[in-house]
Amino acid sequence: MSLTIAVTGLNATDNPGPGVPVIRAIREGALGDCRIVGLAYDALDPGIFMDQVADEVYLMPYPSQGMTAVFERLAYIHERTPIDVLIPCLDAELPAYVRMADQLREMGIRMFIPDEGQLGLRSKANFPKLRNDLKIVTPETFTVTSPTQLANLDENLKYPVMVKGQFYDAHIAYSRMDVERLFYQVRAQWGAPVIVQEYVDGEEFCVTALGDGQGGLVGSVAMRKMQLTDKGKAWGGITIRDAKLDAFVRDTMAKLKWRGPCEMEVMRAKGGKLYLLEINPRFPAWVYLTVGAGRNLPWATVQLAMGESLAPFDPAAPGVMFLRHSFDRICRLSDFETLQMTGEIHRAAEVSP
Amino acid sequence: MDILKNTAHLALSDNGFLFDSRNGATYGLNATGTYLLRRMIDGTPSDELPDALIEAFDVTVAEAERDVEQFLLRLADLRLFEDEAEELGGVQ
Repeated sequence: MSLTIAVTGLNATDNPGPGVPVIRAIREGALGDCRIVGLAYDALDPGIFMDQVADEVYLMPYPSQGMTAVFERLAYIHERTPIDVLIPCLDAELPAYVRMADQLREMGIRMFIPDEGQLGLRSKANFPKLRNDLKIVTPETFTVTSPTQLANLDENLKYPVMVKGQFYDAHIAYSRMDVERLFYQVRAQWGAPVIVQEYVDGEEFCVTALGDGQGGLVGSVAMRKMQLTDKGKAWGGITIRDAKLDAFVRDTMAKLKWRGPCEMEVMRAKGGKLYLLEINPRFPAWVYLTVGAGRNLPWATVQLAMGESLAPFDPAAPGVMFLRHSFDRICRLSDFETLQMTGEIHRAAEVSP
Repeated sequence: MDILKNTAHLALSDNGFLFDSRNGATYGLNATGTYLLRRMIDGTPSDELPDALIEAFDVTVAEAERDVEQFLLRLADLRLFEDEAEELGGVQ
């Protein structure tokens, strides 16, 4: 059965969204027998203009415009291009999609994403709960809403410490003065609370995983970054296999009963102990590596969303490498014009196999 | 000194390229290092490595002993042979 699958996150800059690699993975999983609807926030998102990515493109309102605007736009799109499965790929849109999940399912749009409780639990502000209640090993974490709380940190943390925004951004602070300065800087950009976290020195790994929502792990691929952008994003990486890391991922997914895709950032401290640094509730931009490693997690997500049952994947083989690159693409002004003026592009006949 | 406990995670090519599958680290070894590590992976005890080196390369006993000692120290620094079991304490 040919499915129509909508995917967000089509930006493909030096800090790319996961949409394009998710679509590439789905096209391979479906052996070309699918129709892809790209949901873009900006008419200049490069994924809109790339070959063999989106058969149709619709511009979306930003989540900050409210859930009603997003829902109404999706209802309009679904009327014109009925969607079987939708994969949201960006952190900022997840809360809205989680809240709309039931309504979208009633319309016939399936997703395989966490529920509101799971989504809230993985937020950095809830790391103390993960550490204390669920016994997931995380760096000691404090949520700070007011500068008066900073005085208490001196008793509980050794410098350096990490100062993080609740959604994004992380800085290292070597002194109380650094922490105060960063507190105001991060709060101004990302709002309160600001996260102050124990600094763990060691080797960092990224893992993309797919949980079945019952505590089981459908599959995971672990990667070490080989090249970084100036924002610390992977520009090259290699799959690794480590029994202890596999056990850590399985254990974390079981405790969270995570449903859907995620990216875990894990630090192996000197001495070998593993710490969960972050869970992002969507696939990472390097997710095409899972296809290279023979574990097509985006396609597995589509299958799960469609109600299929899947046997868990064996751990992926180590030593599969990827390098990202950039090149200038010549684009048709007419595509840009159509998208700007009508908010949608329909070209299924041109790019479908 | 016998630091070799577990080598299943190491992939060593004949040209000296070494990949540690547990952490993704890669190394380039020279011919001597490649030879020594291959012998270690194949099970040669550390105290027999100087003789193995003398058989394969034109080196004196003193040079072979010094080179093997330095090589083993370097491997220990890189923690290439950390025992998996001792790390499991971190998983709760």
